[in-house]
This record gives sequence, structure tokens and C-alpha cells, in this order.
Amino acid sequence: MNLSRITDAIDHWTERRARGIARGSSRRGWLKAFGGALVGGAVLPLLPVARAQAASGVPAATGVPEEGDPESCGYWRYCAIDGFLCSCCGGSENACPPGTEMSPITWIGTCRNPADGKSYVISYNDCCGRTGCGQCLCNRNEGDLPMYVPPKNNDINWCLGTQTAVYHCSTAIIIAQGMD
Amino acid sequence: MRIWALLALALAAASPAAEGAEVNADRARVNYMLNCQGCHLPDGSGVGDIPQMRNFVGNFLKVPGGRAFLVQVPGSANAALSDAALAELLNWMLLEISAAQLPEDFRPYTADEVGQYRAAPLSDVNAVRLPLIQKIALLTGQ
Repeated sequence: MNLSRITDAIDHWTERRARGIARGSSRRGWLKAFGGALVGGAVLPLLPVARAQAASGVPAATGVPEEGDPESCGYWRYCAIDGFLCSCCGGSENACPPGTEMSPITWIGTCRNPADGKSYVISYNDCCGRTGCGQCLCNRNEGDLPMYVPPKNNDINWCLGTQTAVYHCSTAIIIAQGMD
Repeated sequence: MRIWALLALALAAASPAAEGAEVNADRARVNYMLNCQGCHLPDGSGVGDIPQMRNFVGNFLKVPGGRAFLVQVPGSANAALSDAALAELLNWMLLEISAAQLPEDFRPYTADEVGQYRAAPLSDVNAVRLPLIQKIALLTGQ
């Protein structure tokens, strides 16, 4: 007896709230708010990364024809890479994952783009500040020279000039067209 | 026969590479990217222990020994570049990032000159660099 009275009260209260919400809102309004949260959530973590990339002075190249999968070690830009691919670690071939800092000091090489047959200068900026990503280890090393030529060696940790020297993953940013 | 000899003469005369004065800016820039920029940064501003070259490196040509020093530092002397390519890179870089600091009588490096300097690389860079920096400081008041 008492119990049914209580459940009835809950039913009435729930119904009133539900009708109130239905009157005061629309499904499109909800979509708008949810969409805003989604886009905001996607943009917010990028902000420090975008700042780091600006600080590193690496302009992203535009208009370069592309082919291949940036999450695969065979992707053309990775010809001289040695490390974890940021594309597999929550970042991309151009940007660090959220929570990491792009090293301004970097290992630079050239790779031939199969899409247009031209060579491009690639900057393998490391992303630093979190422990090793552990995904998509890629070690191709074209143009890599021994350790006694440090500027042309990719076995050393290039997390230099960053807040910490902890290596997380590597990007592969086109910075120029090479001399063919 | 004679025309070939004339052509060869004309080519030799027209080739400024022998004097080290030719600068192909695109090639020099790519060589800078591949051999210098990784540490000195795209604009030569340096970071941390990496010396600032932008708006400074031209000062070395104002003090005795500075002209040789810029070729003898490990980054220059050990670069995987021919003497001509290194001369071109240095000449391009000096004008690109430090033109205001160059002496008025600035002469571009020649390939031969670069070859001679890099044959005597430095074993203790800082021991040579410090007195040069002090002379520059006296000269420029910086």
C-alpha cells in the first residue's frame, strides 16, 4: 500500500520532469550542444601541440600529392625514420599526440614521394614528455650515418630543447621540396 | 676543333663556381635544412646551448681568425658537403640571416679557401670561440 503510493509518486514526478524537458528542449538543440562539445573536445587538446609546432618553426607543406597509409611503416615519408609513429599514438605524421611537446631540434632527411616522383625534405621532429608510445615501431634509416656523425644519426634521442628528454614518438613533416 | 676549344674556354670563363661566388639559393637552403637547421633551427636563432647565428654570425668576419673559424667548426668542417657546396651554403647563410653584421668589405668564401680551412679542423672549439666572442664584444659593444 505504502509502497505503491511511493512508486506512483515517483512515476508522476518522472513524467512531469520528462514532459518538462520535452517542452523546453528540442532534439536539434541537443545535437547542437553535443556537437559543440565534440568539436570543442577535439580542438582543445590540439592547442598546446599547435603552439609547440609553431615554436619549432616547422611550417606544414601544402599541395604535396600524397599516397599511402601514415599508420604503416611503409609510408613514403618514413624512409629515414627510427622510432614509434605518432600516427599510431594519438597524433599524426604532422602533429604530436596531446600531452606531448614537439622537439624544436630535429633529425632531417629526404624521401622520394611515389605520388609525384620528387624528393622532399622531411623533418622527423620527436614528440617528448610522455614515456615511449610503444606502437608502430618503424626503423628504416635511409641516409642514417654512424653515431660519430651526430647531426646525421637517428639513433640518438632528439628530444632536445624540450622540457623533458623523455621520448614518446616521431613525426615526419614535409618542410621543403628537395633538389632532384 | 677550334670551335670546341673556344667553347671550352667560354664555359670556363662563364663558370663562376671556380671562384666560389655562385650561389644557388634553393640548393643552399636545402643544404642548410639538411646540415644545419636540425639544431640551429630554421631561422638560425639557436636554442639552449646551440649558439645563435641569426643577427650575429656575420660578426665573426670582422675579427681576425673568425673567417677560418666559421669553416673549421665541426658543423661546417664535418658536413657531408663538397668544398664548393659548403662555400655556397656559408655565403648564402651569411647574407640570409646576418647581413647587417657583415663587414663592409665582405668577400664571399671560395671553394679553395673552404678546402684549406677545413683541412685544419678544431679539436677544442670553445678554446678558439671564446677569444673570438670577446673580440666581437669589444668591437660591437655587445
